[in-house]
Amino acid sequence: MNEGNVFPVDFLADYAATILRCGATTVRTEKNVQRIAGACGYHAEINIYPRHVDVNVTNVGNGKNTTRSRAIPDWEINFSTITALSRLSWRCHDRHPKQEIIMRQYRRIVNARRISSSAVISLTALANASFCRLFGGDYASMAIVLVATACGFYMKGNLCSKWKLDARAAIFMAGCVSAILSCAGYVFNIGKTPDVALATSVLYLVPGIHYLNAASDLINRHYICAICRFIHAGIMTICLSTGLYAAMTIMRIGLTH
Amino acid sequence: MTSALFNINDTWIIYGCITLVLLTAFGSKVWHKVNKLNSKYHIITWDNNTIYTQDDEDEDYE
Repeated sequence: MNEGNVFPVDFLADYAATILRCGATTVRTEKNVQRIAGACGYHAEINIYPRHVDVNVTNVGNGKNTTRSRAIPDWEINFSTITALSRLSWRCHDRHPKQEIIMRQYRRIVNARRISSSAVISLTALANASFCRLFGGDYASMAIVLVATACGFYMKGNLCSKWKLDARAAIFMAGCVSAILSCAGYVFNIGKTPDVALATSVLYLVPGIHYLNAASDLINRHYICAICRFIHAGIMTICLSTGLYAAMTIMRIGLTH
Repeated sequence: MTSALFNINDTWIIYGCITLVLLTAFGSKVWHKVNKLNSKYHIITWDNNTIYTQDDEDEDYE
């Protein structure tokens, strides 16, 4: 084995696993990894599987190659990390920095502080309340959706992190709780559009990024990843729909034409 | 369009949901505090015949 290959292959495998974990598409992962490898004088091939990623690095000079495999941890969507890692790949391409500098910058990106959970909850609640307005809800319904979303989102995070509950069960429970809380418009006679509040209360649980990534992978002919992401997103959608249906059953709400 | 038929019990479902959210928020903290309190003062104790019980702190390993 060529010892000179160890830096790029280990680094590139970690890089690929991290960027995939943060929710990057396969095409972006491939391009970024190949860009960094090219900047270091290597050629990289990447195999992306649903839970693992293999990176094969070939030394352009002597033709020797090394392969590393990394497990992709559970998805933790973080667009700022994806952007920073993409910028790092362009920096490698344009300036050819030393290996230590690349590693230092990579570690800084990976260890960067995330936006606080209270800010995420507030922004998600505001976004979902805006959805309610978009679908014709009044201000009272928006307020109800804001509270229901904040409670559901907070509960989902807590059930996964503190109580170590399965993500699917947490989504089911969050959907159910949000939908029941959004029925406050019906129960307490608040606002004129309680049906809009109920319908939009669970929208924050729709896994839009996974659906978009599945479509992107499909276009990029990464069919296995596309199907995997689509199934994952579909299961989450089923969980939130089941939660909504359970809430409607508990509250005895029926659909009429 | 949705149709709904509510009675007074439905308000309790909403209050129950709020309680559930609070429970998930503070439940683990309360559980750990009670657990710590119990291990300190042995409020709840059991005999040594119970197969799952073990108290390593006072164990003599001679």
